[in-house]
Amino acid sequence: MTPLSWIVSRLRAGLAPVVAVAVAVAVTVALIAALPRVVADLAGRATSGAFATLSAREGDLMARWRGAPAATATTTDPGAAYLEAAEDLRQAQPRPLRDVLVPPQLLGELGFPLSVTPPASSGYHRLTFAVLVDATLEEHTRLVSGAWPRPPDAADPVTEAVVLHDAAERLGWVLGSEPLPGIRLAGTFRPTDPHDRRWEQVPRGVRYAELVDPNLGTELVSAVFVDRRALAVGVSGKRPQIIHTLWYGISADTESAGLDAEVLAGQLTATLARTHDLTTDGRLSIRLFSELGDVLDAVSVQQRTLTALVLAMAAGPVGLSILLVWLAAVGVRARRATVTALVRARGASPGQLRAWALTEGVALLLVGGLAGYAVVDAALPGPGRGAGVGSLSGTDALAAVAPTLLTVAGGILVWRLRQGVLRLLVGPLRTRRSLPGLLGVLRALRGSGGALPLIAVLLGVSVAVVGGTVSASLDATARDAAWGLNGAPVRIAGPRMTDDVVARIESVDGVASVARVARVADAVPLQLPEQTIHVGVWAADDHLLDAYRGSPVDPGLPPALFGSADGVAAVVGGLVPEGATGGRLGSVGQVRLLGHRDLLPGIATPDAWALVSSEAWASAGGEAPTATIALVAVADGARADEVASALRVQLDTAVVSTAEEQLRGRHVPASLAFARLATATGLATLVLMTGAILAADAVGAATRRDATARLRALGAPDRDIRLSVVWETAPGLLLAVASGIGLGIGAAALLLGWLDYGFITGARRARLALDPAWLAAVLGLVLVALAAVITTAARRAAREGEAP
Amino acid sequence: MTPTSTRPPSRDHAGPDIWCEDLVRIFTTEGAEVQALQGLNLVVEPGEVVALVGASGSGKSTLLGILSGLDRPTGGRARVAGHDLTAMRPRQRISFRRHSVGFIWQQTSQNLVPHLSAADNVMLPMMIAGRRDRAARAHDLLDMLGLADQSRRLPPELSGGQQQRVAIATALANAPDVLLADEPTGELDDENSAAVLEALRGVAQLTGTTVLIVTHDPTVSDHVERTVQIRDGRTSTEVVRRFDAAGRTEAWEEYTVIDRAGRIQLPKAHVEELGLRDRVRLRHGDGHVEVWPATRDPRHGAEEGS
Repeated sequence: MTPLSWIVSRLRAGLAPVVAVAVAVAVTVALIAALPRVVADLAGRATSGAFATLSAREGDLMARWRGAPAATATTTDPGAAYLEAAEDLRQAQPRPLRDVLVPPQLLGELGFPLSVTPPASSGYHRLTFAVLVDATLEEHTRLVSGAWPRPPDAADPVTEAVVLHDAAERLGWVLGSEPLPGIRLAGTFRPTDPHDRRWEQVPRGVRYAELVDPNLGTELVSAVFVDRRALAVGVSGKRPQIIHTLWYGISADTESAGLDAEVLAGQLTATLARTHDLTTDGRLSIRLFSELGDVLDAVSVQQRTLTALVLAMAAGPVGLSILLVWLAAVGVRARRATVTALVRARGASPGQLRAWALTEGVALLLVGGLAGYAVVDAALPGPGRGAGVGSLSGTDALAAVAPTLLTVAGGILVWRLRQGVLRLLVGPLRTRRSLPGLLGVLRALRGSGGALPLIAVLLGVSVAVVGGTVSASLDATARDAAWGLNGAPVRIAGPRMTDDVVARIESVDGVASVARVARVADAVPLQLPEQTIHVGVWAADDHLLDAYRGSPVDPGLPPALFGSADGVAAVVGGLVPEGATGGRLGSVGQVRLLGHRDLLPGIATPDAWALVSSEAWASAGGEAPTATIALVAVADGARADEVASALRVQLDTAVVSTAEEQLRGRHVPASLAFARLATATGLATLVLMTGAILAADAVGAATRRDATARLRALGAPDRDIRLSVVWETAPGLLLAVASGIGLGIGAAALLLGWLDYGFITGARRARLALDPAWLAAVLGLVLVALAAVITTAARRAAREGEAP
Repeated sequence: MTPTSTRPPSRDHAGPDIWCEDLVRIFTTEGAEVQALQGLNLVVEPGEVVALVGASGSGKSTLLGILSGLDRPTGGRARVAGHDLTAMRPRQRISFRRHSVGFIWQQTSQNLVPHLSAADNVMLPMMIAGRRDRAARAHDLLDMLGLADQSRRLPPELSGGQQQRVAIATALANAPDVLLADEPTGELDDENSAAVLEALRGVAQLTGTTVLIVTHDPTVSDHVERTVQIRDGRTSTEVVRRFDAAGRTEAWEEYTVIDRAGRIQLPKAHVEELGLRDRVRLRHGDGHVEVWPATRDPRHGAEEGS
């Protein structure tokens, strides 16, 4: 017998509770270890989602300068020197900015474009080719025919060039020919990845353009690419000005995306604020510019919001798992009470008892902790560099802890409420002949237990409700925003909505009706009894009612707006004061005001506006420009996306959008991940809640055992014993469930009001929306869990009360 | 009992191993006071085997709790194995439990750790005390109690009597001066009870350990030298067993206890038989004191007024 073998024997003797402690530790460690990864993952999705949608102009760090070729020797390659200096500059940046920037690229545009008039058989009246030096062209393209151009030679008046294969093919150029003055075609190429964002900086490298002039005909616009040593010597003996564009693309890959946008924005600002030398002699200094800063600010808000939400929801499972660890440890201690008393009587000092417990605790923490960490490590990839702790900075801590604080405060109130409810139950139960109900309620009222299960239920239910409610609310607000932008299932903008165009729209299968909306006048004085306000006037036909019908943000326009029998009627909105029933509207004169609305879905209304019937407006002598917006109602059974596709074919110059497309655009990757997280957290919380209540009941079962034994001694059957346990536990737990739902909705409202969800909801404030399916699922799962817990407790009580 | 190498404990204190004077213990529950010990006096010399008997609520277990250092007296003085129980600090109390006293309780589950073998149970107090020669001593002790062949068995695999004998070995592990046993035969049949009581007497003889047994067992006086009756929180009478030259019981002599103030408690049977109540007459005889009912004149031996 050694201290170690003694500890091992203790662990082996009561394996089940010890395993319970280890499992609870593993769950806690897993949750805590998962938290920064989840935060980093969401931050990464926010960043990569934002980066992925950026155009080169929005995202890239760019510098532009003019210069002239200086050298005459063809061996000089200033492009390489510039790129090398620019790469050094990138390497000198701090992380994570350095990881976000991809290696620099350089484009030189030599002088003016070359223009020729081709034979009429080509179909073009003119060919215009820019002369470009793309320093990394060979890396991003594939040579289709010929060879890469040789460096320009001062002795040779003709410079070799390559051209986009499609353009060469279209024009029928042959290799070795001189299709442009001073340019010989050395080869043709195609981009290896036409979707690479770098081509946004070099659009002529991926396609040629055809500019149509109604008078002259079509002009083909493209580019020839010459060797980069032309930057030093010019082309065809000419040494024109060269416009250099240097840019760093932005990497949207997952590793660099799990970044703290706030840190990145700070580093970016510092870099943009300085000038950087591209030559060692200091003759060329550049200053970088980018619009990435605004994007990062928006991403930063998104990251902070998501982090606060994740932390707020994590409080549930983490809190419950810690409660489980504690309960499991209490259970182990309770099981060992006799042995502990024995070894104390044999002279074990408090220090020895603590040392043994500490050794066991450390062992369990290590085993459970390592297991939990291993599970998380296997299930979730590690956070990227600069992520994790960094991503937690700037989080609205108060918002993150608000639901927990609310639950704690609510817990105190619910405890008091529980006592009141139990007291109320005592009266009626006293008058009943059946005793178990009264006994159970009295035990609940006077016993010391009950607080832990109550807290577990409150925390579990409220966190499950918070996640689902916030997710549902964001979804509902995003839907509102999408429909607010689109107005109708299908929105068409661009072409003038003449009768002919409308007829073409109506000819498409699935179109039910077409509402034309026109901005007919700006800043028209609207005289109200109290004041005069200038409004923008929109006119629409009565199909607008059909277009809005079924929309979640249907403004509910009064049909009388389009009845032309009694002069002009209007619905006003924005800053126009509410309440007025009539006024004078510019030259139209007296108008009836039928109501006030904040916004008109699908229409970018100004600050103050009025909507009138186009027919009444025209009858009253108002000018009526042709509408450029059409809101399309879709027939029953028709799919908006199919209708939109058909309309795009029918109207090739129109912008056709559907509400669902707008909504998909708002479902940023991070918000989708958050919705999944909310579901997972809710389920995990409910599982942990069940475990915590079971553990709490098991720990408190000893106090129930004596009472149960007495009941049995008095001849109470098992059924009565079970019933008394049901009455003891059920009222408090059910009250906690109801309160948990209320607290969850309250906490969700708090989080919705507190945090900025603009990345999902646009300009709209997130509105609280309940998801009945989610609430029903939570309620159902909780009630099933509680039924299982109460049944288990009742059965145990009946079993333990049996005479030995 | 098998001869063993276990040495009798050498006392590093003078005087009796158990010494109580005017011991008082008052429990307060819900405002009411219960006086469990009311000025108890007890002296047990080194190596004695003493049984403490009394009705339920007489204060036996309270006394044992105090003597074992698990409880503190409200008043009076108590010394066990030279330790003043009223003035011990926590560290001294731990040392006292490790080295000076051993315990045996009625329930075997309170005596032995169920998941440790008999030998491991005996070694446990030595491990707690940091003693080195654990295995050898555990073997000697179990051998002494006739359980050497059971050393690897777990408590549930042993009979009740065997478990209590392992408990005796466990209590003796750190060679205490005093062994305190609380109803050690309470859960045993007559045969096993006798075996356990004999084992206690045997270890006292072999090791010189002082043994105090609290019990209801009426046969206990067959196995001990002194049986002290405790009544209403005080020691009342003692029965001392005398042995003849062959070691057989020769006679039992009954004594009553007299405290420092000269108070004595008469055996209940005498009190009831003679109708002693309220007050008695005392008469100083030749080398003795006579106690007479107040209604009788000791000079005539007749009822007053008759």
